[in-house]
Amino acid sequence: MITVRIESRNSKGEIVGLVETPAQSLVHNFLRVLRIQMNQAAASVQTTAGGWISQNRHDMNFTSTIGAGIIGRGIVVGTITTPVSISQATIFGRIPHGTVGGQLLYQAVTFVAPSDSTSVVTFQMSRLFLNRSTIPATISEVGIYSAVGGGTVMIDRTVLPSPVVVPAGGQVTIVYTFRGTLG
Amino acid sequence: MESALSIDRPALVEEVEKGLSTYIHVSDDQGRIILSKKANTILSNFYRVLYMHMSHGKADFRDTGGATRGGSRNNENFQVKAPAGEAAWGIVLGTSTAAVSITDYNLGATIPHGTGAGQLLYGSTDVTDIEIIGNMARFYITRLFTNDGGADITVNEIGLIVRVHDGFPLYSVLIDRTLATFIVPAGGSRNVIYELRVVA
Repeated sequence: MITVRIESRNSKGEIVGLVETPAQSLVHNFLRVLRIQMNQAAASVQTTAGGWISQNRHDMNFTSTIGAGIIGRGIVVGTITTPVSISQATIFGRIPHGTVGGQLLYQAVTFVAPSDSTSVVTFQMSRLFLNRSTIPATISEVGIYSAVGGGTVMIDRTVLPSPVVVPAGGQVTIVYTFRGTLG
Repeated sequence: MESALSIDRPALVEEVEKGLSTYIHVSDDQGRIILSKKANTILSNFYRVLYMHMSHGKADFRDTGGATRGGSRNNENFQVKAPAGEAAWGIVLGTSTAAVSITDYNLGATIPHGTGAGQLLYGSTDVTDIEIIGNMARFYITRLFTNDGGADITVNEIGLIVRVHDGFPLYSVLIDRTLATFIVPAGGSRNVIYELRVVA
């Protein structure tokens, strides 16, 4: 189970939008990369550019951490509401990094290490986005771009149940929670 | 081996659960599915190894001996293709009925590899290709277990054990343990199939 929490704040730091929804979810590349690692042999994955590459087992597979300003990896955000399908390989309307209208400043991806409770294990990844323009930005889709040894693949795309507006001068924090429970 | 997989490939379980889910199927000597159920998966260790790769951080995990190790990303992590005769990892079977815990690190009572009483011959653990059906992607992990002893063996637990690096060497790490009871008859065999699926 993976959930996505999106918390939008205005320039005063007040919460103006909050959505928590199940991720919609992992797409084919997640399973392809997991299979490559389990099988220890090369297989095809589809990059975020749409092409297919042969990827072998690799210590970079699933890498989703990245620094500020890089929109090609980690949590990414977009504006398109096209429904999710298993074969998608990219966010359709990715919001660029920047400070003018229609752009957001992508901060570094951070993680919270796994922890166990009675019957649940969780870990989290999150990213802060700043709107330094003079007009609001609207987020309708979020996703995770992960590096593999030879490129970048999308492992999750989630269309939000309702768009989240990031006010001018405001910010939004997106938190993915990976949660394992006994089923 | 591929021909055996095509015989044993189970029918689609008509249940839609978005995200990653895991099912276990058991087929008999004729390839007929005799047991099919949702696995308890996934245990704490799975998320810990995934975290190592996604974050490039270190995370503790417990090997099948119960020791806590500190692992990090490695190209061999998640390896599941155990060779024939290897009962320490891959798909494994046991006899314990103890309840599953999210922090389980081994089966309760692993059935050893062998031809004596209470033993099973472990075939190789194999991985099928990915297939896409509608809005679902899935693949199977399979292992054939043969009972060359003179008495039936009752299986009560099924586990999936992968290999994880802790610098060096590789450790065996349980990522799923599911209670499921079936019999491997004397002179017979059973094919155990893990189905890993993602539904968008």
